[in-house]
Amino acid sequence: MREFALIRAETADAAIAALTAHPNARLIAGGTNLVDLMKEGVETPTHLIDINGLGGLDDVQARGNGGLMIGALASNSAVAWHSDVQVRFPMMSEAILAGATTQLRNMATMGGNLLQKNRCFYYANHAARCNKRAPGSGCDAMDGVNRMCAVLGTSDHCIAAHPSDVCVALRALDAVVHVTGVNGHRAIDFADFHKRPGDTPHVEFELAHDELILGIEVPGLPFAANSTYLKLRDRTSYAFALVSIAAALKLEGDTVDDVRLAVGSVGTVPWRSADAEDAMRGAPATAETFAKAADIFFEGAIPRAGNGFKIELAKRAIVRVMETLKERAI
Amino acid sequence: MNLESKVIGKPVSRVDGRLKTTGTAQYSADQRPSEDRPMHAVLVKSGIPSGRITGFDLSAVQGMDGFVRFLSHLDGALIRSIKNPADGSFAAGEEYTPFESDRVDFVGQHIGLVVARALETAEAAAKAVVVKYEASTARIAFDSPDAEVRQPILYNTGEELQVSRGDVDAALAKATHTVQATYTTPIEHHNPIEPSATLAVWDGDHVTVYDATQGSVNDKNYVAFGMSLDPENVRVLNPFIGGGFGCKGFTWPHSLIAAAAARVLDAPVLLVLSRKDMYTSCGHRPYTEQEVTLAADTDGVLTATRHLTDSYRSPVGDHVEPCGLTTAMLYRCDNLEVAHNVRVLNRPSGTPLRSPGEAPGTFALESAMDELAEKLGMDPVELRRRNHTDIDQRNGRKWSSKHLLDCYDRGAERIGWARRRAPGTWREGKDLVGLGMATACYPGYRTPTQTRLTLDRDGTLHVAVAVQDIGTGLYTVLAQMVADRFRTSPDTVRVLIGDSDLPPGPLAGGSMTTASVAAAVDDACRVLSETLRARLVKIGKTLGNEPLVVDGGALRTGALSVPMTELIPTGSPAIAAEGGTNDIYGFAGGVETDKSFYSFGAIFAEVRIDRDYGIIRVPKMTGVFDVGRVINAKTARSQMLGGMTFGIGMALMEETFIDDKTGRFVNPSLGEYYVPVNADVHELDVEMLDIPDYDFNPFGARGLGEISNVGASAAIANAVYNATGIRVRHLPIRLDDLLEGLPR
Repeated sequence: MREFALIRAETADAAIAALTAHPNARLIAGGTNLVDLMKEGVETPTHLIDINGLGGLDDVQARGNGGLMIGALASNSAVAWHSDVQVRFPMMSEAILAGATTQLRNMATMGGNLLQKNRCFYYANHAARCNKRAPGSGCDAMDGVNRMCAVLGTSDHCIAAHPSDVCVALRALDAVVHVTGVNGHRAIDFADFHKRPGDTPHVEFELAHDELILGIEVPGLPFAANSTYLKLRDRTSYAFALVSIAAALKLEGDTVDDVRLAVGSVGTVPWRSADAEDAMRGAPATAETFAKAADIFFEGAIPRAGNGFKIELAKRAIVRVMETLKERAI
Repeated sequence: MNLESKVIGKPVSRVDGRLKTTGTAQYSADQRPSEDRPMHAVLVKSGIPSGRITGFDLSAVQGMDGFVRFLSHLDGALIRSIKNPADGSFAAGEEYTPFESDRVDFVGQHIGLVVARALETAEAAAKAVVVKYEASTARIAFDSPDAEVRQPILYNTGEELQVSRGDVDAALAKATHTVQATYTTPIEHHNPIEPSATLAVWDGDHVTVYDATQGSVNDKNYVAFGMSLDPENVRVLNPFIGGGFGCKGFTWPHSLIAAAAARVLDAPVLLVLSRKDMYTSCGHRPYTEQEVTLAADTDGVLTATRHLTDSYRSPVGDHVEPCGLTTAMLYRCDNLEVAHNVRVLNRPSGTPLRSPGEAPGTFALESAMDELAEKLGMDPVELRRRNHTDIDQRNGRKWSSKHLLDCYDRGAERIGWARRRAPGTWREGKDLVGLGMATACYPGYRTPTQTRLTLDRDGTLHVAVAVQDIGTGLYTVLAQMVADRFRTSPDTVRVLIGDSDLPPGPLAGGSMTTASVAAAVDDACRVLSETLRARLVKIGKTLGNEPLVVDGGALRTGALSVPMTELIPTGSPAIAAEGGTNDIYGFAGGVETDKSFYSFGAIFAEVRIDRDYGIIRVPKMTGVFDVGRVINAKTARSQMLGGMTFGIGMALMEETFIDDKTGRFVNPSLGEYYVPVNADVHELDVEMLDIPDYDFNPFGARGLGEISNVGASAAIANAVYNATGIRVRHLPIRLDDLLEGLPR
């Protein structure tokens, strides 16, 4: 059978040392995605480095500026039910609770959620061509069953949609990913953390092999108290989104003062459009404004045979979510 | 008969409930009958859809620690050449002999078996076997131009698949109102929670097979044939089955492969199919295209009906999805044509899946009826009433017991049918609301069944029959039937099933087990009663005509009460009786009768559809069923809830995608093949008319496992139309089917 060594790291330095020593090692925390992929033979690590023993990385700390520092090992459930998360960033709590199942959320960590793999039907299927799994082999999703695939940020090599819920919220909130590695600590803007496929769809994260995530910083954003997450899917639970919306809205009278808007499952990465947000800022908070922003959001979208509906669905969802937030803000 | 029974019809809790809820029920893969730990086997499956195997490269496998053996067609004749026998002594899922030749007909076909000491080794080795092929042209796409097309004559029940009466074309030419449309249903899989599993243990020339099968007797006969044994030398045990829905009905190659491997290795071999294996190893419901044409006069009376079904089969599996059989019998219509075409494609084999034919067939027929009602400007229930008949349209026989009109009435009342409005006009908040309905029906089947009853000294009744409880509640139902006949509590009855050594009973399929055992149990109870009366007389008792009562430690009749210890003296064996019936109903070769036997029902659905997003919810479904006498109100209702939930899945979620280039299923996992979750299932409202059908068997029960799934998808599709004005003629119906046309 395919064997691997399990290394229990007690410190970040030990984990980094183990990663450095083993070029085909993987970190494991909750394992809710990695273990599945190992069973499928998509991930074939020689070493698993168990980081559950790393101290101090499993809590959520409220920052004085209204922000949060979320430890990489905090469970999805712990974050979702944390009162500061629920009060300051309801979109985050709602996004997590819309994902997976209770059992999975209890096991899954926040760091792991950032690193979860796509769920394109062809990715974990060895008989299919997939440039993420086997670079250069081709992409069977292009002309295959691509209803779940992305319409934004795609390339000729990959159209897999990013599957995470909470990452959509984190993208909207301009989170910062704190990592450490051989060359020390660094902070990565969330916008840069997930990579579009381009010519190298197998390169998915701004994260070196020797680096591990320590935490996710969510900067203070007072108006995010008026935020929400909407997930549209084929069944009510345990299904990936067809389209999801993470949005926050601040009004000044009848005018949009500030806004955040990210859309999930339409992009190869959690998607945000500065132009769409700019079109709303300073504009009257009306359905027309929101619809115009939605149109801008999807400029340049490239639908395939099965997933064109996502564009119209997302546009309607954007308008309705913004209308809902507007009512709550008044 | 015994309508005042203290146990029949009561909501008796499952006698095996504790075993199941505490995890102590032993399923096939759990069994460890001997000290010898079983070897673990994993299938090697074809990666190409058509061609031949030119060799296996085992170099990566042979050095694996714990690897034991690789078996394939290169190992000589491990299994006797099989074709399904004309005498019906067994039914295999596929008409080919595993490991007989180098030929490959579909992706996933079993071409080799790895056996190892540990499951992990076997899995790794199975992946490491390199198969060399010579590929040949495969016909995978449904519209493959050169695929052979067959017109099969008979379904496996003996029912005619090509039916014609009257003159459809002439009637159509004269018709004032017609509907013609094509409906499609997707590939669907059974997805029982327990995968198929076989543990084979040999003892000399005798093999015991612990098999997750819906038919221990069928399994026994198939394994015996394949292993060249007398059937007495095969024992199949299946005390608990974790769902089947048809994929464990006929016996599939893996059962024989496991038995052959255990014989070759002279060691117990356990073969548990993976979830992925389950998608290609034991059937699926094939994709269907159905063209339905209906014509009616201005009163809504049908003047012509045509139902043409196009489906497919694998080169080695002869399943036909018999979508038009319902159409041929249900509504009064003198001009009718029902036809079934089957293309031969290089796809895995199909097999019955809960209500084969009826479920996809009524989606088409009952959608078309809804379209016709719309054209006529007539209430859909009224249209069905106007075409109601007391005569089976296929054979001119009267139904034994049909109360379908009552089902319509009760269902309409329970769902609040009067609330229904014109299509696309009922709005509540952001929702579009709609109501839809469909007729449900399913044949009454019975097959020969024998039963052994035993009364022992402590007053316990034992009932033994080679049937199986696939989760439906049969253990409990059997206990109730016996208890009823001896006026005792089900607690005093021990049920022995799930063992092919017991008196033979039917396969758990076609909703026929309860009706079949009902007749056999009744007969065995009669024989035991006569035996007991004779015994009482023999020991000097004077009897009246009052019924016998097993009352704890005594046998009572009238004023007489005889202690069991007197009836069965110390050292005497328990009193046994055998009874049964060889009668067949619903299948070819059945009993001569002037009646037709069917269950009927009416399904109503309310949907609420988000008018921006098109997301469909089903806040309420009502099913009213005429299924004969209900033996157990609780397990029967549970079956109906399951079937209606099945219907929600079929209507809104379930679909297996196939890649037309490679012949592979694209989403073979429970994460990617959606079935409803709890949050998708809201109020399921079930009523059973509970009218006994004593023409069918002495307990008056017909089957009810399948009918609750029939019509459900059409009821939901019709409700979607009523809510939105959008007619979706394919399943499943998803939000993207509605998005563009929603009346916002």
